[in-house]
Amino acid sequence: MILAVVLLALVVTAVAAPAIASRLGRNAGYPLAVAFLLIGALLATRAPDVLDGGTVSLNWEWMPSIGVSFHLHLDGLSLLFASLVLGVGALILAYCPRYLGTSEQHQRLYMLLTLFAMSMLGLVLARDLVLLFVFWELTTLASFLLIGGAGRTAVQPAARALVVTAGGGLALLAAAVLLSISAGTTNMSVIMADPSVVIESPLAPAIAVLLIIAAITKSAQLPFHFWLPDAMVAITPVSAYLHAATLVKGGIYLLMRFSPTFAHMTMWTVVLMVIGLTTMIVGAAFALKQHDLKSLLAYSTVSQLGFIIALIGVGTPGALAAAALHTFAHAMFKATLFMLAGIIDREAGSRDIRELGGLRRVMPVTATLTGLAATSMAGIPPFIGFISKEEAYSALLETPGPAWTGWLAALATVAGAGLTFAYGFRIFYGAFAGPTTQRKLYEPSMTFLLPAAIPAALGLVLGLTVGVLDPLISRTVEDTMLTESHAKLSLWHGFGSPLVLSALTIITGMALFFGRYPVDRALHRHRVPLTGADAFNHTVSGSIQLGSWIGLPARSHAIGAHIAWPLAALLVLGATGIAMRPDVAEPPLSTTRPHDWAVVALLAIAILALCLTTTRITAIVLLGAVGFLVGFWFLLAGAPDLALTQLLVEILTVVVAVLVLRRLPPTFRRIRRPRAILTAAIAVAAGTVAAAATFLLAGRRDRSAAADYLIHNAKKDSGGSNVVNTVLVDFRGLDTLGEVTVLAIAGIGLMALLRGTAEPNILPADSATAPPDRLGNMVIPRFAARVLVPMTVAISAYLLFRGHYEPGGGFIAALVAGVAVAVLQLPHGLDHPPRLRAPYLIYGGLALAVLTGIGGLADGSFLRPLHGHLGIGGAEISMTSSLSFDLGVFLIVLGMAVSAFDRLGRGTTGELPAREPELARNGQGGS
Amino acid sequence: MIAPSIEYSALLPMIIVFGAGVVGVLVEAFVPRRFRHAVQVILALAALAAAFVQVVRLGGTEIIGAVGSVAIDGPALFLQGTVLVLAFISMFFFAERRIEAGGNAFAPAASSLPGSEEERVLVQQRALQTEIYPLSMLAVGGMMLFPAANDLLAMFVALEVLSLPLYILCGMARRRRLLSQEAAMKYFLLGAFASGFFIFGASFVYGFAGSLEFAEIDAALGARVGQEGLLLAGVGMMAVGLLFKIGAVPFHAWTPDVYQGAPTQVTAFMAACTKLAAFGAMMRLFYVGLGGIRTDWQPMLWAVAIATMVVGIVVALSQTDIKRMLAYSSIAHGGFILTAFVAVDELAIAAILFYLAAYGFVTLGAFAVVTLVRDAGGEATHLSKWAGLGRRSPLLAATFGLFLLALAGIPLTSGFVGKLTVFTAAFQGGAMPLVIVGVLVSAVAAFFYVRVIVLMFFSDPAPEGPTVAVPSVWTTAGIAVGAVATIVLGVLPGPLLDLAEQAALFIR
Repeated sequence: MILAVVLLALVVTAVAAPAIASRLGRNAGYPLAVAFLLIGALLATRAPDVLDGGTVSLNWEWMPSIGVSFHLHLDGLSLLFASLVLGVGALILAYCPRYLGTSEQHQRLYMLLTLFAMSMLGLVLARDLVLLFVFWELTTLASFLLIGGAGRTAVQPAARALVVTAGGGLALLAAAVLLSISAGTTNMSVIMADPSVVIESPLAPAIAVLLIIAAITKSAQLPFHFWLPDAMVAITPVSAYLHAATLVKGGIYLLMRFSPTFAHMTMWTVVLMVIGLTTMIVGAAFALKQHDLKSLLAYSTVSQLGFIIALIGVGTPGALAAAALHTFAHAMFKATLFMLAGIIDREAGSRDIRELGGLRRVMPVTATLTGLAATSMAGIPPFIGFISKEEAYSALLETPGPAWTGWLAALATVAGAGLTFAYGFRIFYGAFAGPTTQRKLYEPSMTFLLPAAIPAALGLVLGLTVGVLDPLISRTVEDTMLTESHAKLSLWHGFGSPLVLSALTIITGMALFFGRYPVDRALHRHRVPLTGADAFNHTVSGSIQLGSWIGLPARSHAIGAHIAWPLAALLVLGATGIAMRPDVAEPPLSTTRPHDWAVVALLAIAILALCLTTTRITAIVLLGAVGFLVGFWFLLAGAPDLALTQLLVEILTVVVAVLVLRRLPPTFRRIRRPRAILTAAIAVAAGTVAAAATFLLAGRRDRSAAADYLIHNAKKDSGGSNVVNTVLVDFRGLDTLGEVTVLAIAGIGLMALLRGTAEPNILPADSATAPPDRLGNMVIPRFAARVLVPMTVAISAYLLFRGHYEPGGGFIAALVAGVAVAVLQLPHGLDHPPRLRAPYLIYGGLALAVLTGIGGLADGSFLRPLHGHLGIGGAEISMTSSLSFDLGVFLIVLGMAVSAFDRLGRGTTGELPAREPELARNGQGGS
Repeated sequence: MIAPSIEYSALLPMIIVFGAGVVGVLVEAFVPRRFRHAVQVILALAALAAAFVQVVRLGGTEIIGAVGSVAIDGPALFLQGTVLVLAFISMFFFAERRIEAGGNAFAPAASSLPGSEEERVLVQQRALQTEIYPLSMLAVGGMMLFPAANDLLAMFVALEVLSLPLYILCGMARRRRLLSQEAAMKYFLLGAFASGFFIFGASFVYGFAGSLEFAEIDAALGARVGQEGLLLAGVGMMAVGLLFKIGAVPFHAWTPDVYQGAPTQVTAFMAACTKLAAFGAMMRLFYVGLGGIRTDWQPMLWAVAIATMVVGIVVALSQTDIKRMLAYSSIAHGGFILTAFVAVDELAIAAILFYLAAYGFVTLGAFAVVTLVRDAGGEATHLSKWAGLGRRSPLLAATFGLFLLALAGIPLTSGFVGKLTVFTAAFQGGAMPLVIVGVLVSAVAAFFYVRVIVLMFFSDPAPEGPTVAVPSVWTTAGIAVGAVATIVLGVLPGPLLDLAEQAALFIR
């Protein structure tokens, strides 16, 4: 419970922070620091318990269905990190007021700092994998916002830091998922309790690698180290708190937390030690190159974290003890140094280490504190930094595996520590020795110095009385190694290898310091060919480029470009299917009759000509020819009504298309050859695949049950012998009614939608190209119409009446009648509106069809046909109400055709609408 | 012949919504112009609420009704309920009238030529477009039927019923009408193309199985030998039709243009609800009808899932228009859902259901925010205009930031829980490579969402930047619901996850 209270208290503090800051301005840091101390004290009440081996735990259900709980847990390791979070946090908040300016607003900063503390505390308390990840990401976000808040120059570094650490966060998420799968739970207590379950699963190496990736991104290890020096654009309190003392320790915490499981895995040891030691040396060398105090400290942090990670990799109780102690020591001296860097920056206006000379004469206290912290960092007795290094040396020498590995690791550490000594001593030297370069400086107020003084002093005091840390370190080791541990920390270890190594370190460091000029030259001679930040930026701009390249087709305004993709996908699918040579039966009917080939040849010619033509009118004619040929083919295949419909639709299509054609340029736009070749290839491929698929998939089934039923029963049930027509007007009469209603709506819709088009005005403006006497030109068609129209109407009527028995019917008849209307209409040049009124035809047809249906109610149900016989003379004609229903269909279809002629035949409004200026897609393209 | 029995109570939610659509048409015809808007809004909201109540009352129902063509079961009810809630919020955005000074976001008369005198007069008269309400009711009805359709024909009908009104709605933008009409035209043509594929494929599958019902298709899978070609060709073509609706690569090309050109309120509605309905239908078709040949279609969907995630995110990176960026992000999210889709088990169904709901709220909210950032020409969708928005309007920018974080899958937002469940399901279904790609792609995705956050908060505002319109209570409420849902589903996802889990069983 107390854990939840602690977290909640921090949330409340964060919520209250803006209000406090708007009242107190920059001084809001003081009450917040007090709040941190109180919360820390609250947590500390349970510290004795924990140090005695107890734990504090809290487990609430959170997402029971996926087994995730809100599980907090306080043990020694958590206590160590929690004390850093709250302790250093309080110091930083107390430091902020004097550091920050009086003019700006600080609500956001204080709130984010407190929120960060909350998430960091949550991270070290979380006992559920998902919860751990949640807090991990929250710390990343807080860090991002805190870096980014530093102004324009901070945008890029903030984004880089976020991407690297959030990427690591995803690795952690993946690790969490794999862990929960291999262990069957997200409860870390259960996972920790029996490491063998995880370690023996095949996923163990993957989990280890993912955890390491997560840790080294967060803790800025090679090759992901670049974000940390970049992040120094943030204001100094943020750098001190997040990027030295706490946030970057997240990776350390993670590795220590999972040490019980993986510490004995060889890969874990090797990878961590290689990465850690490499980073330690390289980071320290980079630090030695820096003149800017904050950059130096950033690389130093990178290096020191590498040192700790190498120790965790060793995976022995002694090494973990050293790692824990060094984590603590590092937080002390690095927080101090950052705060002092901020003070010097504020007072001297420069962070260049070369300008610090003789600081002790003008700022004695600052110089002393700097000296204390730098000495601790350099690892000089009696500071805590010395003790942790001693511990580390003795642990490294006992690295598991062959004896030489221990010595190799120890010597590598000597090299890294020597470099650390060298830059640590440079700071020390800068503060105390040399001529005073800036005489006008004076000591800042004590309130500014005090927060830095406390950890600096602690580094010395704890070095002398390091025994007080024994319980905490022992407990931490017990939590991370699952073994009993009784750490005995002391300043003096007696003579032995560690002391020799320490001496060697100091000698190396001194040599590097005194030879600093040649060392500097050597360091500056070699430039890194590619920095991490550059690589990052290249990757980003490269992927943006790639994205705009891939997205190119989707930006096209042409439909073709959009169709190409699904078509290509389908082609691949079809080609794969055909390539697999499916086993199909022989088609029941012979597929190769001679006249089929003749039709195919004609079709091929027509289509080829269609593709090659450049004028629209030819294309329409050829398209019509293709349609006619297909209709003819239907006829040859024995489907007369299909053929009839096809032919009529073709005729009407050509008529309507010609009407539309008047508004388009006479020729097609020229198409570039490569594009033409490409589309031709796609078309041919699509045609081939479609033909193959048709051959393979069609024509191998018997007549369906429904077809059998209709063929046998149509005559008996409906009196009609044309099965197609009986289906339309009788068996599925309701469907037909629905369909013609849609058609009716479409016809009326066409009338309504195009109502805005102006009265016909087709005389071209350029009278030279216009025919001199348009009406005169039309004499022949008009005369022909007089002959043709009555004949067509007669055919139409004939088709309508015989529809029930022979190919024909209302739909086909209406198409014929439509042709008649077209023939009548075209010679009049469309100046006259059609004599037939489409709406009346449509309304009449619909009414007739519905009334016929209602008539069917007399025989029991809607649309049931009524049969009767009409005797005329000797002949007896059977009459059925289906005919009147079909007449309704006829009227509607005709009405639709008429409305199409009417509306499409008219001209457009005077001018086309002005193109909207926004039409150009301003929202596209790469940046 | 006995007349077929219809389970009216189980179908009542759909009947209510379709009925409201029909009544809405009558309202257009008979109610005086002045009252029309109010009547339509009330009608739409009441119908959606009533349908939702009925969906809740039906909870636990498992029947196959309407002569085998509609299945009312857990997934269907879950998705219907979600569609209704999301549509309810969408109606809020449709009803917004303050941003356009009395008008709504739609052209006064869609049939008036852009730039014509008629249009000018209508705008001057402040004529209100109210046909959007019946149209959207019909679309919602289609979206409810789509995941419940239990045979190929019902599924096709639902597909068309939901699509056709959307095509029209897309072309109705008040501003930039040519762009909007182009979008509608493109959507229609490509959508018709995709529907054609679907029905073509359905006829093949019918040819194979001799039945349209999923249960019988399933039964035929094992029984018939020698016609797998027909079956697989049919499955492939139906997949094309459905993947088109989802916006999966390579059938995604319509998405950016349509999302950009459509009125943003419609984009929001469409992005949230269509994806939901289409995934529901796809699950039922592929799990219930075609589950027996999963080894045949899984490789295809693997490829599509990877292509969708990668292309969606990589192209999103290069976008400079906020609506296009969200469009590509929606493509990528479709890919994330597909990773779970290939797992084919109850865990996957529950994960997909949750993801769809969570994603719906986020998308609605995000697009609604886009409607508020405006300059003289309407919405200012170019990313550069969003620079420094956090300074001008911190609350709005923070809300948008929240939605972006949810899209990126950052913890404590619904997006994180969704991604977690989806990837877990995919992993347990053996789709490890998909999960790896998904996680990597998520990292890139996080980068570009954060880029926008950086732009809003850490960049200096452009001197002639857009203003943030003060919306009426409609839009405010809608965005608030979206934001609250995003946080609640991120912090306390338990209840909805449980519900999704209980619902995750298809009736056969």
